[in-house]
Amino acid sequence: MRVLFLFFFVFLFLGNAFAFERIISLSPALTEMVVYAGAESKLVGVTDFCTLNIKAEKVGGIVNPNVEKIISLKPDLILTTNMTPLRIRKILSKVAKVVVFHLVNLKEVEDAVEYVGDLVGSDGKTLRKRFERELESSLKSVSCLKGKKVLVLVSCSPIYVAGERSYIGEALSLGGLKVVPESLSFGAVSAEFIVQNGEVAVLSCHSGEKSLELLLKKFGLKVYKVPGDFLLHPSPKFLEGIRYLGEKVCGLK
Amino acid sequence: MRFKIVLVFLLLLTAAVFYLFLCWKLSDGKILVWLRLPEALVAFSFGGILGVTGVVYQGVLKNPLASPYILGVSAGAAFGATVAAFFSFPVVFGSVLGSLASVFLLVLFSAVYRTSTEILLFGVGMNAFLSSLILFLYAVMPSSTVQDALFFTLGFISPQPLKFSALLFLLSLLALFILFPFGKWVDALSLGELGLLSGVRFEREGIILLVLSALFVSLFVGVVGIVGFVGIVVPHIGRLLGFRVSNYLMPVSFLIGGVLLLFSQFLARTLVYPTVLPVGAVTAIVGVPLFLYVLWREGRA
Repeated sequence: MRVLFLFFFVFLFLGNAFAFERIISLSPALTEMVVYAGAESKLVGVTDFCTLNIKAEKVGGIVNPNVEKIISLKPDLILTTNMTPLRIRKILSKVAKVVVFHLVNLKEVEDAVEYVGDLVGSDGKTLRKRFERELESSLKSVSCLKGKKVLVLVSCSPIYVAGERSYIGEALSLGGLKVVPESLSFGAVSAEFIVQNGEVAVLSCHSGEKSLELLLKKFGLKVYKVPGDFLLHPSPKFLEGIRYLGEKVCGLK
Repeated sequence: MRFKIVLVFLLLLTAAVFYLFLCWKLSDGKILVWLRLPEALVAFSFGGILGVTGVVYQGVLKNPLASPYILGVSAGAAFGATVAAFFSFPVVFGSVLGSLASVFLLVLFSAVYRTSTEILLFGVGMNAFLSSLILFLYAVMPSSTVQDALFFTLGFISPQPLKFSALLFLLSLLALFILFPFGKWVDALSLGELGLLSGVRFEREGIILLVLSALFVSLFVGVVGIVGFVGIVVPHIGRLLGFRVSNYLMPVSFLIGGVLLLFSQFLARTLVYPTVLPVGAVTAIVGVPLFLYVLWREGRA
């Protein structure tokens, strides 16, 4: 019986202690999570679209990564989202462990933070708690918007919103904001829907902001702009977007 | 007499669809003036111009499947929009330039390709070439900037200022009045060799009509986005109603095109509320069954 317990504990210890050392990330958000876990030195490959300054090889796009290059880097872990095609993920799974994430709502983002933390050798649970704490504190910065009906626009022409079911919407709802539309994660809505249902519009678009801003202001909506690089990343980076918004709207950091 | 009856019917239908579009669940007067009226004007004028130019293209190119997009106007606009998104310029700016550039290429190459078949194949080639370039750019662009270009190609009608929408409406009327007197050229060219007796030549009058039509459509496509199928289906509906002479078919197609796009935009906004569908998808869903019916009727006739 003692031997059995000994084996069990040794196995448990080894299981926790094992961490991947050569990691490739096929999503900017997952790269940011690895960095958040303090394991950027383990990254050997990232996508062309990862904007963080990391000493890692570029391995192509999110949907069209260079499979040969990835294999040549001899990774032991490949982090992807469901945006990377299944056939590519299947090939890659023959050379390394492939973990696929779906990052649409807040729970999925929090789960990913924890799991990535575990995979890179940090304590995932601690990392998740840190993320939750930081989310809570960043939400304090938008406290002046409590109870307001808020629309988060991720494209201005056509109008495309992040609704309450998206990670941005769920996070802002935790802070007491009423994110509309309630029934959507992401989707196209009309300008009419916005002016009828919103009080505050957060524009996080790449183009067409100016004319839409003028139009929405005619209807008495308060309009604020947040750079897309912040809010559109389902990773700890979007907390920076919330703080940026808080600083602009409520004057709080 | 028949023309007058159908025209009155179409005018009543237009008024009814306008009324439905403007007044359906209207809660605020400001919404009517600043949102619905501009949207209605843009949708109607774009649909109208696609209908008129569809008549011109099908007649001049002697091809029942020809549409204003066949010579690369939409591909040019989409390419321009994608390049603009790539360099973080406004998408509208890029799409107008792209569609006008495709018209310029058409003028340039019309000196080399002088028959309707050659011009048609030139359009097919341009479309394929530009579409490949767009796919190339999609592959190397960040996903966040791809979305602007991608949304443009899906065919959403975005909010426009009222004055600008009124200007687009006047532009569509201007296009109708400019193209209308050339209806006889279109008819002569659609007859092929028989039409040569009238003295109308494809390499002269035909090219002028194609370039003129493409120019008007390119301005709309550049501003509004790509809306497919209207240009193909509308002239066939007009012919089904009994209008085969272009001088009648053009105004009738203008009204049918306008009503079709206006009604499609109404459905796009209301079918899956609050989600707005791309109007290009709705026109195809509404238009394809109609198109198949028209083909069946024409075949029987």
